[in-house]
Amino acid sequence: MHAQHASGRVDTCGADRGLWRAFRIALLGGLLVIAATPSDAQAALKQVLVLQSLHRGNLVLDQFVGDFRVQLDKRVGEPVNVVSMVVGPTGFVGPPNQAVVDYIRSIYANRRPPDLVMTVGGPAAAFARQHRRQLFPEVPLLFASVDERYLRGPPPTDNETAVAVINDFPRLIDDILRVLPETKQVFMIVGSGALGQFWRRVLEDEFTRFRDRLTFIWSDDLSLTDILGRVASLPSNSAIVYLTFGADAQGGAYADEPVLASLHAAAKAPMFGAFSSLFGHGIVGGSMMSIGGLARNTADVASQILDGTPPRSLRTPPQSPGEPIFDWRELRRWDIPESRLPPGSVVQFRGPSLWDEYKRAVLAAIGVLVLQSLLIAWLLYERRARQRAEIASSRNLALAADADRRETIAALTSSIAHELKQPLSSILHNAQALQMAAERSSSASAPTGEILADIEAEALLAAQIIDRHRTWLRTHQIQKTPIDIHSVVSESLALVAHDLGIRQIDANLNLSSTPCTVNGDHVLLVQVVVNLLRNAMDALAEAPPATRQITIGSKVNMADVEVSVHDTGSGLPAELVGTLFSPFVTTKPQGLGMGLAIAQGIVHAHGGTISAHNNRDAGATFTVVLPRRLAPGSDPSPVNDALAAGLPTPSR
Amino acid sequence: MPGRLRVLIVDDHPSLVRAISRLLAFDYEVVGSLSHGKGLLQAAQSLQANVILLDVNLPDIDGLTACRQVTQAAPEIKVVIFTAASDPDARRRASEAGASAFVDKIESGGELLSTFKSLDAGRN
Repeated sequence: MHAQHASGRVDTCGADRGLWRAFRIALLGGLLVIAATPSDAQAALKQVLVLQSLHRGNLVLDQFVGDFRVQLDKRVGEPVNVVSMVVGPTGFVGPPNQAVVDYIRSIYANRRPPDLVMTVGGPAAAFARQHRRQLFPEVPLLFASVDERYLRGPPPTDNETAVAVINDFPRLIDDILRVLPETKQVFMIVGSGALGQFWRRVLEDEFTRFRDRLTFIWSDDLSLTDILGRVASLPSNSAIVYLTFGADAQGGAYADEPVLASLHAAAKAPMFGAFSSLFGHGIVGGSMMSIGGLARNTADVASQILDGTPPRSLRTPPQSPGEPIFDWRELRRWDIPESRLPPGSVVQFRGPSLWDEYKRAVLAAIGVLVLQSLLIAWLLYERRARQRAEIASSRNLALAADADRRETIAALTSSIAHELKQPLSSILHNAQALQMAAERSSSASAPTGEILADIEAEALLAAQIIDRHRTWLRTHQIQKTPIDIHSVVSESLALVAHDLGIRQIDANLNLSSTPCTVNGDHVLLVQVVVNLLRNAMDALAEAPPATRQITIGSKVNMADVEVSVHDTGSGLPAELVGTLFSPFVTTKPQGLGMGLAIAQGIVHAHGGTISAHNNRDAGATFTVVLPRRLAPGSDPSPVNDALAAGLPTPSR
Repeated sequence: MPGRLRVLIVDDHPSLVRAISRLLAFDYEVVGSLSHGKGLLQAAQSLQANVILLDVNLPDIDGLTACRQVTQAAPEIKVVIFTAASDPDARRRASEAGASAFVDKIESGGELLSTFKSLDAGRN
């Protein structure tokens, strides 16, 4: 399909002897094909003489011939004997055409002529037309893979037909301008010699309409080294078009593949081409002539001729370029967005997506994430369930504590009444005194100011008593704040003070001089101490009044605080040791046995412990240990206690 | 005609002692007050008290025991039990201990005064 008036591959030195040697080798190739065919089979096989324009190395024609052979065999249904020879000039200086003609004729001198003569490419078509009379004029001639520009002139005879193409290079330039609108110059690689000159002449004419927009630079007068240098230094708004190459200006013959690879490596501008055979060799893309399709069409026509159909009845319209095809890798290399591609463009060699490339890793990561998520969900569920259980436990504890406080209050009712009656009675009698003073107009024995002050103080006292007990009757949830355990002790004593008095029990304090601060719930901790005090009071019921002693002690350790309630009572029954803090364990006929169990629950809710033991002399001691809350910067050592007790302190 | 009743108040609640003293002082002589039961008889005798207004819940001694001690040793001294416990049993126990009267602390001052008026009238 290319005009190849003067291309060559073996005559770079220009020596006639070398040229002839190459020519002889080419002819010998053809002879070997024939000689290898058994004579008996030769008569039965269809014979096709293929006149080629170029030697192997031209990607377009190589693919065409290869595909054609395969397709022809398919269509004929049996092997077809194909004799190929290059008739295009093999270099700047080639063998005389007549010598080639003579040689071909000599091959068939004692054999039957071929059943079909087929030319491939423009130069071979021109050669066959020129020497048609000597080249089996009675045999059908098929012009294949030829640009229709080569067939202009006399129309084909009845014994000739063509499967031509219309190469539309201006359309390729349009494609370039569409995807690269900023393009200002196009470097045209067309090869050197007659081929390059032909295409340069034709295309300069066809590219006239781009004159105002583009500058075309032609490679036909450059060596390959110069071409590579030029493509490496092209300005950014350039493009390269690769038509064909074959030979450079120095006569060096080159195959397309290594030339394209060199250009692709060196080029500073994207490279375009118009033949599907070049696609995948560094070509960005464009409207491509399908060489595979052309080979199929040509095989169709050739097989029909071999089947006896007259060539005149096989007129095929020239094949035009197909839909634009682009190489995804080149689009990325040159940063060409796919949005600029012509409508209907096909993008090939699309790289694997992130998904394709990292599918395994992504799936593995997703798997890990899913597992992790499930684990987290399970842990959250567990945590939530635990929190629910804790809340339920806390709620249960609070409810039990509420009930226990009410029970305690019920038990202390008489003491509450007694406590309240003192200030109320004081208020009543003070009021009566005031009334009498008013009636008798005498304030001598009833100083009004003092009376009113007493009334106010007693009313406040009554209110405090009411408040204290009301707090105990109120439903309560655990609320921890920093509190001094000594205030817990004093309030606990206030609550049971009346009972202590009635029972003639002496209450003593042996408290640490160091503040015993814990993080706790005041009401609940008072409840614990009151429970312990009531237990101690009950334990003293049978003791002689003179020996009824309860001692409340506190001790500050490094990390915790101890509160103990020591009594001189009957001690703990042996059968209760170990179950003392279990629910419903009691020695009291009226008791539910919940007091100590609830006290233990409250202490545990504060992160502490509660224990009991019998004293060496008499009675028992209950000890509550709670985590100590240290003020920022405070000395956690119990040295203050040691100092307070008058003990020697450790030397530092 | 005997002089004004001489009253000794025994209660461990200072504010109440002051209130009672003010109320009784209109018509009677409040000769003193004690916050405990120890030495009650001696104090009453030395202060020449005619009446002891005695709380039951004392820090050192049961008020009824003290009452019994006083009324047995000095029957001329009348003891008025003055208590917050107002149940019938408490009245009975007070009577058994020799008390001349029983006054609930939470009753109005009128009851206390009428009790003292009766005691005073009985003296004449």
